[in-house]
Amino acid sequence: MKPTPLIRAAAALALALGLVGCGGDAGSGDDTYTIGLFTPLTGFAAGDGKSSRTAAKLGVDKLNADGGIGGKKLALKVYDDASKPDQAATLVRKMIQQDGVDVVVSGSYSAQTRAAAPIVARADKLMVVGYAVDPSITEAGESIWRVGELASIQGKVGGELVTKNLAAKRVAILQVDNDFGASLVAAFRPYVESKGAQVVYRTKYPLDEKDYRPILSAANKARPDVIYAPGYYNNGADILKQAKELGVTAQIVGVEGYDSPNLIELAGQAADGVIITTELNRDSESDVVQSFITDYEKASGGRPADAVAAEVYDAVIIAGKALDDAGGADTEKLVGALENLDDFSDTTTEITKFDAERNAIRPGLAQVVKNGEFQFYASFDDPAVIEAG
Amino acid sequence: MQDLVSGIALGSTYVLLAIGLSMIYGILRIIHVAHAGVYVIGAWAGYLVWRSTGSLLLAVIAGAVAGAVAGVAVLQLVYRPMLDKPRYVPLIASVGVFILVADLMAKPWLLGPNPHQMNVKPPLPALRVGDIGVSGTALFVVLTAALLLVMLWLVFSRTQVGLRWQAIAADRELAGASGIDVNRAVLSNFAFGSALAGAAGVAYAAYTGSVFATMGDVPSYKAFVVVVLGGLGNVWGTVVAGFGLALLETLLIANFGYLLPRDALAFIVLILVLMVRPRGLFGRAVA
Amino acid sequence: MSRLRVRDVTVRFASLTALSNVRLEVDAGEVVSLVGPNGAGKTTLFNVITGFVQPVAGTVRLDGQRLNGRGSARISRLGVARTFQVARPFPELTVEDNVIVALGRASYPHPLRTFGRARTPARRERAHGLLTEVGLPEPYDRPAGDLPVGHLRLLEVGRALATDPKVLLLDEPAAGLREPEVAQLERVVARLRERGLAVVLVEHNVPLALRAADRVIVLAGGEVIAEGTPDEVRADRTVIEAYLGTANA
Ligand SMILES: Nc1ncnc2c1ncn2[C@@H]1O[C@H](COP(=O)(O)OP(=O)(O)OP(=O)(O)O)[C@@H](O)[C@H]1O
Ligand SMILES: [Mg+2]
Repeated sequence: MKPTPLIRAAAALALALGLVGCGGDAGSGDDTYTIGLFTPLTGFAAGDGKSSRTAAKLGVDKLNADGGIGGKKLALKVYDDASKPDQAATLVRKMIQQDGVDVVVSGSYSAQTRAAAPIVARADKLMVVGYAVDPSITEAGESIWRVGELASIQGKVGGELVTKNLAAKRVAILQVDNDFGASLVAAFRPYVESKGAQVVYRTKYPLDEKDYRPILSAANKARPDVIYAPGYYNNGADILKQAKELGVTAQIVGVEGYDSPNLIELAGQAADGVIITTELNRDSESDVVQSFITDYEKASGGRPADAVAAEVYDAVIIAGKALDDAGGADTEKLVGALENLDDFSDTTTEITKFDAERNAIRPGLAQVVKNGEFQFYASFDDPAVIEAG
Repeated sequence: MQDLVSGIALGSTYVLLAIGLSMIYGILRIIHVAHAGVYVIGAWAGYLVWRSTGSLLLAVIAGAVAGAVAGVAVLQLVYRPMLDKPRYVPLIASVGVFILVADLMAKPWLLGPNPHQMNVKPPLPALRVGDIGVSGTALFVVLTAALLLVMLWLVFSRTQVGLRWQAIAADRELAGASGIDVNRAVLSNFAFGSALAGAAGVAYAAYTGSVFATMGDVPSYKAFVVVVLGGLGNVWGTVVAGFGLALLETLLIANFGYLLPRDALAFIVLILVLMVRPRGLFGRAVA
Repeated sequence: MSRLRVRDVTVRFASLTALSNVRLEVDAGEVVSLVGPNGAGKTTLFNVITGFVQPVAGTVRLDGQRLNGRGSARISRLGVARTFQVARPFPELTVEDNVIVALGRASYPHPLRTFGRARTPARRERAHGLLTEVGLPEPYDRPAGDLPVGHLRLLEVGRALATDPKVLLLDEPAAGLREPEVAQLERVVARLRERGLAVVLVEHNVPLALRAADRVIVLAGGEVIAEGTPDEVRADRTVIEAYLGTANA
């Protein structure tokens, strides 16, 4: 339920008075570590919230099935941030102060994660961030680590895809008007321009836009080879459908935000042919990836895995590894364990290392939708593309 | 030109929604915020019917019927007991009903929190003249709106109820004293206006290709802007204002991008128009 | 039994007693004039009869059937029609539509017919007949709001008659009319009486009120101070003091 303002106010009051969740040191007893996940279970991003929850559960179950963490069990608590930054901030306070969570995992977007990061850092807790892309998140402190691909890297991967693989000379940019879009374009645009392509049209659209016809027709007039359209799956689905309706022939390139079965469900046939930059390689030969894909589909009742799920899963696995290597929940030891981590073989997003800014590094990946499925399109190894700087 | 076509299609959905609101305001003088709830209910019913039959036409009919039923329910259960109260009372109740509908719709057993795709098979062939294209769905939306508007115009100007609606809108008390069964006329007015809202919900869902629980949030206020722009309660002014606003949005965004949020534009236009014409574009002078 | 019977009606607005124990009886085919100074309560009495104002005491009956407590639309359909002191048209409707919209039940045998055509030839003919009868000159296809005040009053009468009333309440119908129009109105009232309507005429034009009436009731300060034939009332001292003396000087 989308709470009414009144209920919301009452809930906020109850939280403030400490009426809810008292005595909630749920399971952080001697024999259990607790991971606290915040993610949007309600609101416009609820689809990603559900993916996150399913994936995190899967990760915890996997770690427990493999013998737990140094003899202890791992428990998961899930918190709904409703896609609201202030709610995310309130929730991580509650996790840390009342519920005795050992490691925080973000299964939410940049704005929520950015609100949570300084609170977690100040409380000196470890947070492993799933898919939030905003670079400043990890700057909040030494104890904030990220599994997802930085926007500044993904933007370059997109640029490489557009200028090299697609050999585009004329590029139109339709970007979602928030940090996600802005930080991707901030990397994408200089990259394509440095490779000799021209940005012939650029505009921002609001997150909840439904009618893209005006900007698509304006973009189309500029005769682009490629339309780069960072946004989320609901934006992407409408863009794809409406572009088809208007007879737009330029190749549409999306981003990780499109990586969801919802894109294909919402866009139907119009999704075919779209190319996106993302992290989950569904055609990977790795057993870890393939069994994740199978297990996830089982756990979610038939919904295929997506990048959000893979990243949150990896965040939980990384958190588990840190607890295991550190031999306890002491944050300084956890950070030390992550700094020395070099075996990423049981992650699903092909992580190769963490860089000095605590961001995961991996080969760049592009996928294409064919016959209603995401398939491998290209990968990118050039360190100049896939590493920060 | 392409933008003109897109603007007209979008405008058709605005007009269908706003015109019912204008009718209802005209006859009851209630700020009927719950109209946007009726719109969502219509979209939901249309979506269910579309999913089981695949027919957009049946979906629009179902949306209209569901809209009429929902609108009449709001009238009889919520407004009827408070018509003699100061006008903010039904307004508050109306906001309450709207929030209730949106919250209920977000329940998993109704629409749930996620959008659902409604990629209808275009019921009409697409038109393409030069580089201007109109999808079959957009064409259907425009034609449906046109048909409903003509129908409404006929009812308004030719039939006995239409005449009664006009009389009640002009002077409710006098209408009663002239033997008009005001309650019954208000009921049919509500049913008609709400049916248009339900049809508008389905049309918008088909035009954008998705249905979701919060799809009434923006229309809940944008429809009011259209109604006020058109001159409160002036049904034909509402038509002009609805198309005008959609065209303006489309053309501005196409030519200048999102200088302003799309939905703020409505209010800016409203403020500018009210500065020059305090009773809206087509409002009448004080009697 | 009288057609319209008002019994001991008392109306209060806050501390003001606008009517106290007022009685009024009108028979079919009878014209009763109701006269009295400004603020006497004449319009209030009409408001009580037509359901606009609820009395604190008393009853209103039409052919023995109780009217007070019912809504004004119901009362109208039971057969009581009125005009308003300040002429009150539906300004955007045409003159003709102002009458058509009020046409009585008889022309709509079935409720679903309301979705049928409003302006059938029969209904237009009836509307035109009524408008001609009250003396409103053509054209009838212009908005009623454009009519001069005198013509608006005639339209009021025409619209009231459109409801097929048994009782007709006229609130100062002659105010603002020119001489020939007043004469026309007088003829209309006479014809209605002939046809068996019960008519109550509120008039400040006392000569007209006395000429047209079978009986006269004088109201002052919310009370009936005199009642009788026009001749009796004309001769009544209290009446002359309370009203006629000043108004007719
Ligand atoms: N709705 C009302 N609320 C309060 N007072 C009222 C109301 N209607 C009438 N009155 C008062 O009741 C008294 C009688 O008014 P009413 O209009 O019936 O007089 P009237 O005889 O019709 O006078 P006139 O000849 O001026 O039309 C007046 O004092 C008037 O101010
Ligand atoms: Mg009076």
